[in-house]
Amino acid sequence: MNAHTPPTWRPESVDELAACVRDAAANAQPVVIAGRGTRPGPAALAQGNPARLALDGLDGVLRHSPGDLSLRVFAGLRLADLDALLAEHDQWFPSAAYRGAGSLGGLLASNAEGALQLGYGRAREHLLGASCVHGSGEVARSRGDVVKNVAGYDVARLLVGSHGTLGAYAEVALRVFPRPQRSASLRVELADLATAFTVARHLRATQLEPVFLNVLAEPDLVELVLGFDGLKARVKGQLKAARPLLVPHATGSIEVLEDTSDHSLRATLDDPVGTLGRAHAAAPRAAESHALLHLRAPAAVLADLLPPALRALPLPVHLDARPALGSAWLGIHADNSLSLRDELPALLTALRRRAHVTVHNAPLALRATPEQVWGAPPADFALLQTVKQALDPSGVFAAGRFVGGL
Amino acid sequence: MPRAPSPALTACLDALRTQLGAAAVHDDADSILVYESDGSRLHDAVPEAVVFPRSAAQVAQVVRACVRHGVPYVGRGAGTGLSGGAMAHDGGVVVALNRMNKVLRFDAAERRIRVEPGVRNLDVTRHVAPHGLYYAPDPSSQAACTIGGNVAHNSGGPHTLKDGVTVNHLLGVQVVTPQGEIVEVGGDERPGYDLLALLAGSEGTLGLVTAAELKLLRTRESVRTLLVAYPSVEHACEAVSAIIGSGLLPCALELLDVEVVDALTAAFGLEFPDGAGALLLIETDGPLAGMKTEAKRIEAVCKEHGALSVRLAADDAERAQLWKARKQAFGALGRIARHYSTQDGVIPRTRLPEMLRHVREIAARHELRVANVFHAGDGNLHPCLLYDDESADTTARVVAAGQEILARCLELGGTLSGEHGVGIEKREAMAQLFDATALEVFTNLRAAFDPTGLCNPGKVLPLGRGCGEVLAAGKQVSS
Ligand SMILES: Cc1cc2nc3c(=O)[nH]c(=O)nc-3n(C[C@H](O)[C@H](O)[C@H](O)COP(=O)(O)OP(=O)(O)OC[C@H]3O[C@@H](n4cnc5c(N)ncnc54)[C@H](O)[C@@H]3O)c2cc1C
Repeated sequence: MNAHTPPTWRPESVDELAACVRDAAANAQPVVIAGRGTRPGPAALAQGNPARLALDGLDGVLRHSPGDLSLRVFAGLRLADLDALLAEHDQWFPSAAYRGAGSLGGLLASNAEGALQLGYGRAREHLLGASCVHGSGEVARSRGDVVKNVAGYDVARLLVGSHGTLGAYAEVALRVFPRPQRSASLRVELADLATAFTVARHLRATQLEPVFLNVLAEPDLVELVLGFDGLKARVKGQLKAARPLLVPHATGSIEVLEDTSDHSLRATLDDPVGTLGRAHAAAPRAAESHALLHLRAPAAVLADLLPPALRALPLPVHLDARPALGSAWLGIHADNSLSLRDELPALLTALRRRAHVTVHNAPLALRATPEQVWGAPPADFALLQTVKQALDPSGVFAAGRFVGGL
Repeated sequence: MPRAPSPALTACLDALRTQLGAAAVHDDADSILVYESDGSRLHDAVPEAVVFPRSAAQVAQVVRACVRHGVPYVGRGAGTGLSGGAMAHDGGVVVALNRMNKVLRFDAAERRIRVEPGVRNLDVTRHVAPHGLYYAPDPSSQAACTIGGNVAHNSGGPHTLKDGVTVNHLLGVQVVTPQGEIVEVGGDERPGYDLLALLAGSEGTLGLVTAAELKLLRTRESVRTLLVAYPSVEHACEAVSAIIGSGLLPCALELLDVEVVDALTAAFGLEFPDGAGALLLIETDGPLAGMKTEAKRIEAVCKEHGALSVRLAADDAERAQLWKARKQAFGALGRIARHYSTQDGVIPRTRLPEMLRHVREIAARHELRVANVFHAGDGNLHPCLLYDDESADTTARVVAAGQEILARCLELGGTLSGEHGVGIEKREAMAQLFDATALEVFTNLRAAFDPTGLCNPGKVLPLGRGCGEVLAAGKQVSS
């Protein structure tokens, strides 16, 4: 392997970005796209010696039309800046509301799961169009700036979840929303994980419309949190209606969170990678003694799978499960890397039998290959390869770090 | 005009008769004539044969036979498409998927259903309604159109303002690729690209959908429906923007202009307040808690913007009564003109008043009557150009006016189609909307999926690009 440090490129315009990619393609120089570098994301070890393409220079707003509730921005825009800009007009983009330093392009490419996905959907649902730089180094637009559009293939969305392997978002158009008049949430402590999943299931079957509903667990604590947004009367009514459903199961009082306490709860839920990563930040040699897993499976499977799996694991675990989304985040900590290296493979095998598991963090030896990080290639892998071949034929982007070595 | 079947077609149909049975393959004049058009009527083309597969495996057999013999094929659901997408303009075979109409799996607790492509949109909701669930995308054609067609066009409907279009409710699909492989395409629970978004709206050019897994929503606890009369469409459009800007998110915001109001009065005797120049149908839904406040606020905003009258439905029967105006609008137009042609452009919502003036001006210049009934909350226009004779001159004027309307939509920052698709109708206009680089990306994707260029050729991409180049690529592959 090449010993010299790979270059970092930091284009400041879409033209410069395209030129970087053309250069890379011409020189067979693999490239790893880093939005603002806040959440590098799960990835296997890179092949070759990839250059780093930082997109934080691609900043700013192209067009904001408050009356149309839509805007077009450069993809490197900081999410906090997007939120601040929209707040001036009493608007918001729910997926950007609590994210802070990350970039919009990164949010989309990583298909990040925000706090409020249950209520508002993924960022992808409100993506109107984009300009992307694909492997040829040319800038191609798809879809547009209006809220409904079926002209042409939806390449803008095709790149959602592509983790930088099909191209770089350069410009992004979004549908935005009026900020809700009121937000509030409830927090309740429960006896155990199984109870928490049952209560979550019951809540889902009611007419309540929570914007989030999470089962949180750490050693010696299991909680359920749920939040509501909307007109004052509607939030108040739902808080009231939810309470009697929680009372029979609560082991303590039911806490109502408003304003800053509600906001900070949402911020922690919005960034499970950061939150669960920080939970044991004090531990020595954090990288080798910490694992972060993301599970995807139907609610019933999560409820079935997680309580016994966690009970059987002799290591402290922090859990943030979103059963209604079919998602769960697991932070696992160990005093030294040895026990994690011993325990994790068996846990992964067991979980992967019934869920998709992505390894965001783990001792290096357990996250070196694509198969270790992403699991086995999915059933439609041949079509993923077809798309990769069409949009990045010379394989400029990502250098074998994504699922199946894409 | 009947053409003599080519030896390739004959060989292909012979192979399919053996594999699927003779009853599944039709090439007699009467049978194929039924498939000459779709809902749009402006783009007729008779196919050379129609086949009726019953399973994904049979669809794969059809595709492989077509590829082996170089015969083009096009999938078809109910044929209600409005852009000429389901027709065999290059000859070849229509693959009729409407007999694959079984519900494959339904999980009420997880709120998902897996259906075959020929299941009709409304039948999904009918199937799950007893469990307090519904399928959100609701095209006005929902009693007839199929889920396969909905996926191909990424269809929406009056209620997509809040709930989204087909792509927002797809959890997975099974496709038969143009290579004849059966593939289960996953959603975001598996790592990978958003293939569901690529396939939704791809108009059957990247493969045939043989099953779809759909997300279901829980029937909402309460619904309020209002029919509001305004002196003019300008007033109504302003009210639409004000409602959305105020933070209320109704599930439907449909606008009917004075021509439609008059047609409804003439055709069905529906009564509206004197001086009504536009109607706004507004529906909002959600938990009962706070519903009263929400409906009141909508009413208040409507009145602030010059409403002549506001009717709030008191019960389900009244609600159905109010929807009647919207649902019978096209029927009413059918009574005042023998034909109408609908465009489907989208513009930023704030440009609606301006755009409607352009529409009237363009229609007048081409000596055509025009009526507007559309999804105002989305800025999705449906100007209906009304005409009585199908003479070449009239047809030419209708086509020209439609093209001018779409060109205006693009000038105002909009797009060619919100939900009806590009099909054959708007494929050349794609070159106005997208530059050469963007079209090349589409072409590359299409060629990668369909190297032989036989899967619904001639649709979506302008000729000379897309189809022609894909065919060229295919020839290289097979030679
Ligand atoms: C009166 C009327 C009202 C309408 N209202 C609306 C509306 O409110 N909203 C809206 O979005 N549309 C509307 N439409 C348009 C039309 O109903 C939709 O586009 C619908 O989704 C088409 O479904 P279909 O089964 O009829 O498809 P078809 O017309 O049979 O086919 C349409 C396209 O889909 C492809 N296709 C069909 N099945 C498959 C499959 N299984 N796999 C791959 N490709 C396939 C075809 O090749 C073709 O390109 C309306 C049409 C009419 C006539």
